[in-house]
Amino acid sequence: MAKILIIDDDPDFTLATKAILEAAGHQILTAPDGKAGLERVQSEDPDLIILDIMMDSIYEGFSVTTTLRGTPEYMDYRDIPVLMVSAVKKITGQRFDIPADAKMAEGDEFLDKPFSAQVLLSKVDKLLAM
Amino acid sequence: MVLRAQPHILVIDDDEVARDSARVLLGRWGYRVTLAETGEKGLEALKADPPDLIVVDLQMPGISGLDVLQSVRESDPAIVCIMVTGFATLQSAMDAMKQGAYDFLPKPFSPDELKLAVNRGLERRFLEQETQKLRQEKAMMEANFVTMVSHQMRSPLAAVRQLLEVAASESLGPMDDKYKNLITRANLRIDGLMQDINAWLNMVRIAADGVAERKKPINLSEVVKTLAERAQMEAEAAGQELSVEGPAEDVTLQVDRESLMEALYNITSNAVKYNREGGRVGIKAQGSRQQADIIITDQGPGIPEAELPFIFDDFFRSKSPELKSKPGTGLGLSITRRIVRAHGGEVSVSSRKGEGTIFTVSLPL
Repeated sequence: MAKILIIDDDPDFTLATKAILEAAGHQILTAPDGKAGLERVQSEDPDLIILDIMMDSIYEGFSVTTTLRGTPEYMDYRDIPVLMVSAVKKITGQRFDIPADAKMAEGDEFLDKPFSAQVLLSKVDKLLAM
Repeated sequence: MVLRAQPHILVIDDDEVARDSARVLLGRWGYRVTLAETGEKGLEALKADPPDLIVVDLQMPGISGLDVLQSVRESDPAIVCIMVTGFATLQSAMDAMKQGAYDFLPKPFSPDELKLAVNRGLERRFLEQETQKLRQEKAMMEANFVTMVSHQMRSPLAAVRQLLEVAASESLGPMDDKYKNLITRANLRIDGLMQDINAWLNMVRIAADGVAERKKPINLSEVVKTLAERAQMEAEAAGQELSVEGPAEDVTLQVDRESLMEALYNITSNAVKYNREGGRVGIKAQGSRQQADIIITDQGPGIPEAELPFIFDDFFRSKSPELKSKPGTGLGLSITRRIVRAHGGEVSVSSRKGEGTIFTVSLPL
């Protein structure tokens, strides 16, 4: 039973994920882009953030985590766990190449889209327990 | 470029009172502070634990603030430097600015003045890092064309599958068994399609890099045989005929088998897909001393002449109604051309409206 913020530019995906999480008793907030997402973080202080990489705006998702983890303005929200999701696994089987010194950009966990309800809920529980 | 959760400020000043008050103030404002009482110690601290921003006194015994500045600019120009000037000597402040200091603070300064300068400096630092990151991301994106294609194709599919998952998991309430069955079948098809896309894109990745390293000798007749087997299956399933001819003289090619066959399958698949009902697909191979040609024909509606120059472009799909109506990604021929060219060959097309189309793949020996 947690307050979860979904930041994703795909409204269908957001709708589906929201339905699954609400069925498990969580309270869901949504934002369609990084900027709106960060505003919601400040106004709502969620327990968990599910963040899409949002490749249409040059990997906007990574910008969000960098801002959350790297700016004084968001210091109070630095510790909110982040579940990063994406429809794209880099096809060599690895996730995106994040340079070693930009680890700040990564979330705490990563899930490939689409994911089963079961997998989503268990990752969410795991992150909320952190 | 290391991004820190909490901005780190290094204060270099030989005046103990100045150092202590800086630590108190900066700490209160939420920053991590390191102190150094000389320029030398400052440079050591810089190396051991690079800060985001340095506040350094211009006038110190030993290494001066300007020397520190120069050192910092050489080792990491992304670190922002704020010079503290005593006696408000304009000249040294200007020298510092010319040498890359971001700002200067004349003594005595108030806590507010310090806060303003530090905040502006950190904003600058952060912007610098953001810009760097954006540049890196842009480069990554350009280098990752296939990843972008993957994104375009998989995102909508992932959305569809996720919506169906809501139904499959009965998150909105229990569902009649009859519907559940349909949902399960739909999900299986989508999962299958996602796997196909993965395999396909993986193939493109293979094709794009390192074909040259994977070339092995293979006979033209072998290529034709393998191609024909696959085309035969597709043609039969579509109620069409397949005719195979040649090569009269067998020759040996150096090819990356996996990607070349995929390139050829794209063409034969198209020949079957766009053929007229009960039509014929032809595969003809001929070898000469310098090259091998594989010619694939169909008896479909033909490709409009105006479109011929564009059919190998990525995502190109014909506007002609008979061709548009068949499903397709617009990638097959562009992938084929990529692979054929990676082998040093070329693919060409000719077409006659109402009669059919001829694709020729030529490969050097």
